[in-house]
Amino acid sequence: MREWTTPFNNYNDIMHSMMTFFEISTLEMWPGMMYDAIDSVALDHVPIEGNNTLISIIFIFFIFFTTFFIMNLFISVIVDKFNEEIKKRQGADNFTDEQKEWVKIQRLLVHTNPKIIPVEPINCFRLQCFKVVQSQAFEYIVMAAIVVNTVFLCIDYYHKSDELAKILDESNLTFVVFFTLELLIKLTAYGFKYYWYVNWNKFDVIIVAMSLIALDEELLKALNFNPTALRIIRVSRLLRMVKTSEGLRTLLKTLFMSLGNIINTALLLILILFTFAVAGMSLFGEIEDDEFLNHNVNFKSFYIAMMTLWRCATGESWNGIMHECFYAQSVVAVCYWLLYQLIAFFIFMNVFIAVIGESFNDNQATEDENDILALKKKDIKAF
Amino acid sequence: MLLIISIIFVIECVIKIIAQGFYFGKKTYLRDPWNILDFIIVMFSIITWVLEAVMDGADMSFIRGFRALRALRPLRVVSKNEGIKTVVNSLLESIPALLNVLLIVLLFLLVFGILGIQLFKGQLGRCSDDNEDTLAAIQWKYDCVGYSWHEIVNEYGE
Repeated sequence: MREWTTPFNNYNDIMHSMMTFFEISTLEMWPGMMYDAIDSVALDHVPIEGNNTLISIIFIFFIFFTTFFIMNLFISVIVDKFNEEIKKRQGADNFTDEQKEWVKIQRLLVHTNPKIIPVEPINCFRLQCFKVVQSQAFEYIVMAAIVVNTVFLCIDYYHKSDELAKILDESNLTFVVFFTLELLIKLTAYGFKYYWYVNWNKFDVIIVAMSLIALDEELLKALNFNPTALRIIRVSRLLRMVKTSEGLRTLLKTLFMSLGNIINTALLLILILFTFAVAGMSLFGEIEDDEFLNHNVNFKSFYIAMMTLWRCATGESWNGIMHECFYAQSVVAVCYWLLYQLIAFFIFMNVFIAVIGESFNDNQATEDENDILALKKKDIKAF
Repeated sequence: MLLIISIIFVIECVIKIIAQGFYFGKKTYLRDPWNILDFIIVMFSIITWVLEAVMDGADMSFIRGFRALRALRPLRVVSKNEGIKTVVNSLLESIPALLNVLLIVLLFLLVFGILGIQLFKGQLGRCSDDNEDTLAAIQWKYDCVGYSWHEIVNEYGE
């Protein structure tokens, strides 16, 4: 059986040609399209490999201009509008400068909680503990312990010798004992009230408690506890490293502050995925498996349809899937996928950037305000 | 079960319309865009009922399309949650600006699309054949399937 076939990504009319270039602008499977063009010879001629390599300049140019510049306009537009909306909600839109100042100060008052300084204990033993905990050396030793613990966790590998396994087990025990001791010393030094006041300490308590429970594997098995969770607990100790540096803490705070908006956006994205998944199931539910639509990627059940759409929201080979849908459902498939890609890939993925960026700026701004305030305090004291 | 849920939605819609007024005057039901979405979804379920009752076993295939609109129902969650509303509002606000960006993208696609037609029109076809030996000798579409664009133009003229 002899046939003359044309690939989906051709340039025979304006719609196909623009579609092809749109697919290239999403950076999915574009090398294949470029080599198809390079291999082309003449009208109705079979392709010859590497016929005109210079033509690749067009594709390089196109990607440089469209993907690197214009597609980023989507990001800037969405970030801009998102910030405007947030400002509007804070009511800073039609205020005078003085009113804005007032709002800023009010917000500052809400945000700045006075730092509580731990009181020196009267008890002789507790005083000793207090001095140890307050010393710089103690801080360094704890940090060193966390780093060494990290190194020990990295040593682990598949097919390790029995000796190494024993050493690792013992080291784990040592570290748990060390961190428990640290916690106890701090607790005696500060007293429970102040200790629990610092958020990072709560985190420490949870981790130490978890690793103490995790020591007794028999008990865990008796409790029907999953051993995977145990490994996660061991690793979560490393998160204490974040505490060490100011920059890391700011970043983590940013993530934490944006959590609310991230969840809202994610919920909205799930709604959109749901809507498209149901529509996709009725449109493409009966398509046979092929190269791109296979047993992992299809619209036959709700769960797999959601997975397929999520995968396409990250861009991965969405156009290959679209081509196979097109062969079954013609133009409807193209409309569906164009709409989906525009909403999920170009708009929603950028909303996440907008959310993070917004709360990062906000965080930075409050920190600047804090600096200014500190300066003024100093001036007043000097006066 | 679906019927009960639909009835609950219809009742909610009717109560809201009675309480707020339908359209005329400020702050009535249909003046809130979120209510319009609710209203459309409710209307579609009513239309489906009416059609099912009237048609009674006749060709129901197009009703399936209406059924697919049920997928829009979860979107109503949006109108109940303040946080999501912010995100949606900012998205809606950014639509005019996004359309501008889209226009620029389209312009670029158009320019390159036309360039693509000029350069590669009809050039990407290839011959597929089970027999590898004869395939190597084929140069043109004419050799492959016996007719080509040149031939048609020659035969029927301009």
